[in-house]
Amino acid sequence: MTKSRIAFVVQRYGEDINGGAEYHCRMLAEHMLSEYDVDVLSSCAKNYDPWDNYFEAGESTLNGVKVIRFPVEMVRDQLKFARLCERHRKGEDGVENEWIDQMGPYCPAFVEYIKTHYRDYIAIIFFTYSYYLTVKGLGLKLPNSILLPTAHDEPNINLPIYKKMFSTPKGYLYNSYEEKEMLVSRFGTEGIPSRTGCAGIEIPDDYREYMPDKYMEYNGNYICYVGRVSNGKNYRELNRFFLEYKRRNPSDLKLFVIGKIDDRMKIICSRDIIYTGFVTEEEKYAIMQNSRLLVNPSKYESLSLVMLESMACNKPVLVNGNCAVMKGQCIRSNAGLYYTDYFEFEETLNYILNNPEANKQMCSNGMAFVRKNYSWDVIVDNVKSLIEEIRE
Amino acid sequence: MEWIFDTEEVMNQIRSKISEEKRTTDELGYISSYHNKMVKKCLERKKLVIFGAGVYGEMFLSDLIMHKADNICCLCDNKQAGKTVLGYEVLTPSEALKEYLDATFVITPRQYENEILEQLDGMGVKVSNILILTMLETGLEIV
Repeated sequence: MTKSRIAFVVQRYGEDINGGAEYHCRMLAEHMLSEYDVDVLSSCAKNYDPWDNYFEAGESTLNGVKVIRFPVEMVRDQLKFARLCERHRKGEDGVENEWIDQMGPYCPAFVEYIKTHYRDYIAIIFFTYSYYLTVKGLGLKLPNSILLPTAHDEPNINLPIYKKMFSTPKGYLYNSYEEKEMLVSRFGTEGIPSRTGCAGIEIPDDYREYMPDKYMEYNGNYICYVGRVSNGKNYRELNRFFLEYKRRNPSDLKLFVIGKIDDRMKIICSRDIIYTGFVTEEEKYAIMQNSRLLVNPSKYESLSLVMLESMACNKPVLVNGNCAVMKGQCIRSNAGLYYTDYFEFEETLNYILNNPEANKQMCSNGMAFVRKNYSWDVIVDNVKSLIEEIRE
Repeated sequence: MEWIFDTEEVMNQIRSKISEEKRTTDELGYISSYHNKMVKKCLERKKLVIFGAGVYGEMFLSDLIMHKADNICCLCDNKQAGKTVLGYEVLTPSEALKEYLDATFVITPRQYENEILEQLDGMGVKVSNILILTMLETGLEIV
């Protein structure tokens, strides 16, 4: 039987694209193949600063998904863009279009394509609210458009161009209840059909035997950070808090840091902090599965996949309570604790480390939470039900 | 009856345990005496407006909250008005001045202290109502 066809629209697409939303899009597109034929409409860019034309324009196939790429026809002029940002923020008329063209990736051929082909799809799912493809695509007010915004509280979301855009999709896929709450309260999207939960997690196998030999000496007595080592992820605060913790609570405990260190990042070197550098997926899971817990200091997440991965690794989580999404996930799952300052960091860390019964319950709660809400079967059904609703 | 772990319940226990102790940054190893003096000065003012909604503004705000400051009115920023930081509104400098005429403005951005000082002076803020925070000397910032 012929399957119906859906499309995803995303700024960049490919296996080696470095970006959370792009990875999320690829995973979702590939999992939706069980229900639909899937096209991905994207730019030819691999990098966003500046947008380039790394990939060939036209059609190709990646893991069963048809990818149609459109050329980027203008590279962002940073100075011009900064000036336009200022004018746009001040609400100056007539700069919106120029601003979003500069935001990019500027692909007018995509707009022409979607104008003439939108009927080929029962639904078109736009990934991330902020880029040219989404703004221009939703601007066409298509009857089959769904927005997966990946939004959090950031200055740009208040720009006039987005305020108008948030009322145009026929459906919403939210990553979390907190994201939904923010968009509903700020842009009045409550009347638009929606589903919450659109990213899945594979429960990893037991990879503990893949633990690199050089880390065996730590006997699993470490906490784990996984992610970009950058100011944007608030790594600096974790660095400071952990060293203060060690000063006030002497022990053999270490902090393992798995992730690329940003070029501009200044970090403190300490014998208590182990930077692993590049590790394979198996090694990453081995380090997580052997750890005491995962810590995530980030303040801005629309969904923390690594937090869910840690739960799927049967480990408790300790997260920044100033991030509404992670705090909410913590409370809903009962799989971890959160902190908002150093003193809470110290107490919550000690609590998890020193209460084996609570630790055990957090682990099993986390695993159950992920299975119930974030297994791919659940997510595919969730997305499918929204597609079918807007189709009616 | 079997005990069941509940995140909120445990967080409440932890918070009450901390508040029974001395909860100030004074005893943290990375905090400088300069920082403690600045916090003290800020707590003594009637109304505070934090200038800068970036990393440093948020860092200092969070620290003032930890010190139970009840005089914070809002933040202000030339580029980030409209958002909220830790529950506080970010206004434009002129909105903040209009709303909180006699407030003390604490300048937090690291590289533009002089420009901001000139801006506030030009807007009519009294020099005695301006404090400049040198984040590098607080110990909060790692370099």
